[in-house]
Amino acid sequence: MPSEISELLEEARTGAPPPRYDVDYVWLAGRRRRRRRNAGWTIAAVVAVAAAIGVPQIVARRSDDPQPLKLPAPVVITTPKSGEIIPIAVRFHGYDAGGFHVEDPTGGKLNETQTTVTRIGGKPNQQYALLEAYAPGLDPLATYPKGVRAETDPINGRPAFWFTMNDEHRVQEDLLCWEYVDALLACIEPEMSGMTAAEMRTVAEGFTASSEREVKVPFKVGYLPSGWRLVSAEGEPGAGKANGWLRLEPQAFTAARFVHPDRQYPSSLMEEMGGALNLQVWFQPSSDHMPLLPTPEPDGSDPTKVVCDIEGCYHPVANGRYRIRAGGSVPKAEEAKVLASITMAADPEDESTWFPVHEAVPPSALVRLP
Amino acid sequence: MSDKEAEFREFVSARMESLRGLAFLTCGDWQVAEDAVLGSLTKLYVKWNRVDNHEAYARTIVVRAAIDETRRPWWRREQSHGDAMPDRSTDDGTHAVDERIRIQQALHRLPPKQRAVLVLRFLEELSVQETAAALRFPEGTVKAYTSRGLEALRELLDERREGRRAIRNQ
Repeated sequence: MPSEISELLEEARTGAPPPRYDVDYVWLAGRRRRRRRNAGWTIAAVVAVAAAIGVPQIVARRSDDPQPLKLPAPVVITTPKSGEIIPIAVRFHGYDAGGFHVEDPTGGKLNETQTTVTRIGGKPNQQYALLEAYAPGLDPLATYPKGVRAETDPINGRPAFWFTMNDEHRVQEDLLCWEYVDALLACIEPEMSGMTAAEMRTVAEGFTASSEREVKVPFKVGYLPSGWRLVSAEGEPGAGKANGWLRLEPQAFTAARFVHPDRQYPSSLMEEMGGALNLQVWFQPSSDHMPLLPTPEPDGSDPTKVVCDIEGCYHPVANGRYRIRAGGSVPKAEEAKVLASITMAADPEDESTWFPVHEAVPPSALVRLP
Repeated sequence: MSDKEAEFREFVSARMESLRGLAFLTCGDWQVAEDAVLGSLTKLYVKWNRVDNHEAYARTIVVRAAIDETRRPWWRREQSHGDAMPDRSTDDGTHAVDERIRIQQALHRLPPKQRAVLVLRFLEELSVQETAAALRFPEGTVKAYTSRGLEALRELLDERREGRRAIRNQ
C-alpha cells in the first residue's frame, strides 16, 4: 500500500504548467526580501491602502414561519463604531447536538470565531465540519462572488439558507448559514468526512449565541515593533496543556482587510509584500516543543536563558513546564526584545489570572474600525 | 557573486520543481503552490547561512506555507481563477491524464493537513517523528492523519485495481 501511495502521489504531481518564476527571479526576490529586512521592515509603513469601506450589512429577515421560537438568554455583542477597537472575542460555547460535538471556541479573529465539529464517539481529531460565527459589520459570503443562496426553513426561528459557493474548480459542499442573532451569520461548512444536510441542520439548531467573551491569554507583551497589529488570539486553559497565542501582521495588511466586505485582504497584497509577514507570540507546554531543526535546549532551571532558532526566540517559564516564544518576520533582535517584554500570568494554568487581549498588547497594536 | 549566492542558486535550480510539486499536492493549486514556494525560498535565502539542512528546511516551510494558503478564504476565491485541481476530467482523450486527474480529485477530497502528512510520509519518505516536527503536529496526530488518509485513498486504489482487471479481461 505505501509504495502504491508513493506512486499515486508521484503521478498526481505531474502535469505542472510552465513555471512563472525562474532561478534568477527567486534569487532577486530573496535579495529584495533581505533588503527589506535590513531596512527595518519599513515597507509596511509605506504601502498605502485605502481603508475607507462600505460594509454591507446582512439584511435581517424575520421569518413568517410559525414554528416555535427558542428563547435564548439575552446576549450582548459589541458592534464597534468607526474609530473603536474591534474586539477579538468568542460569541458561543461548545455543545453537543445530534451525535456531534462542537468544540468550545478558544480563539477569535477580526472577522470570526471558528471551531470544529466532531462526531461523539468517532475517531479522535476527525473533523466533520467547521462552524464559523461571524463578527458584526461584515459580509463573510462576499468571499464567493458567484455564490448562490437558497432559502431554507428557519433555524431556531431565524432566517437560514444553503449557500453554494459556485467555485467550479473545487470539490465542495454547500454551507448551511443562519442568523444566530439579528444580522449576524453563522455557517457550517462540512468537511469531506461527510455530514448529511439533516445532521448539519441538527447541529445548527443546537447552536446558542452567548454574550461576547474577550479572548484571554496567559501573558502580556510590553513591546512590539512599530506598525504591527493584533489580528487573532487564542487561549486554551488546562493543567499541563494550557496554551496561548497572539498573531500580528503589518498595519498595511490590516488596513487592506477593510477594503473588502469580508474583512480579508486580497492575495495580490501577499505578493506585493513578499509573502506572509507575521509576528507571533505563543505559550505552549514544553512537551509540545518540536523544533524545525536541532537547537540547544534550555534546561528549565534558568528562566532568563533565551534560546533563538529559526522559528524565533524562547525561554522556559512555569518552572520549565512551558515555553514562551516570539517569532516571525522581524529581525532576531526584535524577537528577543518582544520576548524580554513579556509578563507571564501569575499562574499560567489558572485562567482567572490571564489577561484579556486588549490588555495583552500595547494599545497601538489593537485594530480600530476605520 | 559569492559562493553562498551560487550555492543558493544551485539549490533553487535543483529543488524548485520538486518543491512546487510538493506544495501543489498540499494546496491543490499550481499558482498558489508556486507562490508558496517563492515565498519560502526567499525566506530560505535570508536565512541561508543560519540553516544547516537547507533541504529539510525548505520542504518544511513550503508545506506549511501551502497549508496556510488553504486556510485563507481568499484562497477559495482564487480557486475559481487558478489552475486548481479540476473537479472533472478534461476531455483530452488520454487515459494517463484522466487517471492523473482522478488521483488529484481523490487527494483534493482530503483536508490539507492530511494531504500534507501523506505527501511528507510517502512522497518525501519522512518518518512519523520527522513529519511531526515538520508540521508541528503531535506524533499521534500524524499517525491518525496517515491512517485516515490511507483509508480515504484505499477506495481509489481499489478502483484502479478494478480498472486494470477490466482492461486485462478485455
